[in-house]
Amino acid sequence: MKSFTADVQLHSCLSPCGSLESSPGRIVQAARACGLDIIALTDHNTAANCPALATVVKRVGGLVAFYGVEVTTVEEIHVICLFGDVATAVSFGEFVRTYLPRLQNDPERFGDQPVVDAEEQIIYLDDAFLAGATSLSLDRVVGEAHARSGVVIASHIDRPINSLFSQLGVWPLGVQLDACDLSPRAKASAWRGQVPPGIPFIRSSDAHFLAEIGRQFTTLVLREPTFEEFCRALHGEDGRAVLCTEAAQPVAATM
Amino acid sequence: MKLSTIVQELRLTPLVELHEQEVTDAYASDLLSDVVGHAHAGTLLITIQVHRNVVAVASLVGLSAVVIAQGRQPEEDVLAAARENQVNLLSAPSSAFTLAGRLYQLGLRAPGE
Repeated sequence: MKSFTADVQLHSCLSPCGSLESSPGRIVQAARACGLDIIALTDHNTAANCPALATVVKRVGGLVAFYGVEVTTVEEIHVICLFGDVATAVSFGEFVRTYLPRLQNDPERFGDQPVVDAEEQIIYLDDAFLAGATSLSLDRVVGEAHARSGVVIASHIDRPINSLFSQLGVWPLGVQLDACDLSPRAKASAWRGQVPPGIPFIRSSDAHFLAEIGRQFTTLVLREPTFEEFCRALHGEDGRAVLCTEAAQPVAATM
Repeated sequence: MKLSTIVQELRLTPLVELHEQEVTDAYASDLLSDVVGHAHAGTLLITIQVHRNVVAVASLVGLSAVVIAQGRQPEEDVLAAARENQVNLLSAPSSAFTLAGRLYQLGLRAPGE
């Protein structure tokens, strides 16, 4: 078993309010510079920039990427859905976007939403209202992601907006979430009692700007840095582990 | 005020078999963390939140009733949970705004007001 540093919630320029500098190419550069082993791209309600990330990761090497979407459910809860391959993430993203409200993005308020290639060229500007909530229930999102062999992580559960607890008050019985994510300000011990045993905590940067990448991270103990191993670690299989620190710590500090 | 009086006055549709309750006050919110923080035993909740946790929170807090506004229809598992936990679940086609206004006219106030 080996330890890997992972930051599995990153936003690119395609996310509303994401920095225009955050192209997949620059994200990979920044992630490598701060010493991350594993990253995941999770734009709001779309995975359209994942193909560019996959191209860059393949070209540059030295880093493993997972691909996903941060879905806004009908309850207005943010959940990170992750997949091991680009095609699955992209098709899941296309599925999710059909449940967005039929509104157009207002670039003045939310910024442009460029879909780019590996060379940082804009392919097109997405005019969907990616900042909106889908009409998909939490249960449905979890079911659809699991049906595609993905995992679902409740985002920033400590935050007063768009979190599982802000929207639902208490842990929802019967929902098959794979992990819970803590924002930098949260102490893990303060939330342990709110979440059923066996559901691991992770820390991710939720970076909307390049400088935020790796501002906190999760250590994964895996046989090898693959998505299958990550899934097994989330379920604590055979010595694999997900290690979340009590307080936030930047990945660069561990080097 | 009796729940049955409110049901009659506002022509609410019971979604489960109702249990008579004294309604002490009323609150309108869709964030269940906010409901936990501001409602108490006897409060009637107006909401469009139809996740099954609305029943869990109603039961936890001891809400006298939950009125689902805007004609939203909870899934069967939510109704089953309401029956099991004896939570008074009702619906109305009106908006939360209109329902709150009519309850105010009947003399109900928000918790602590």
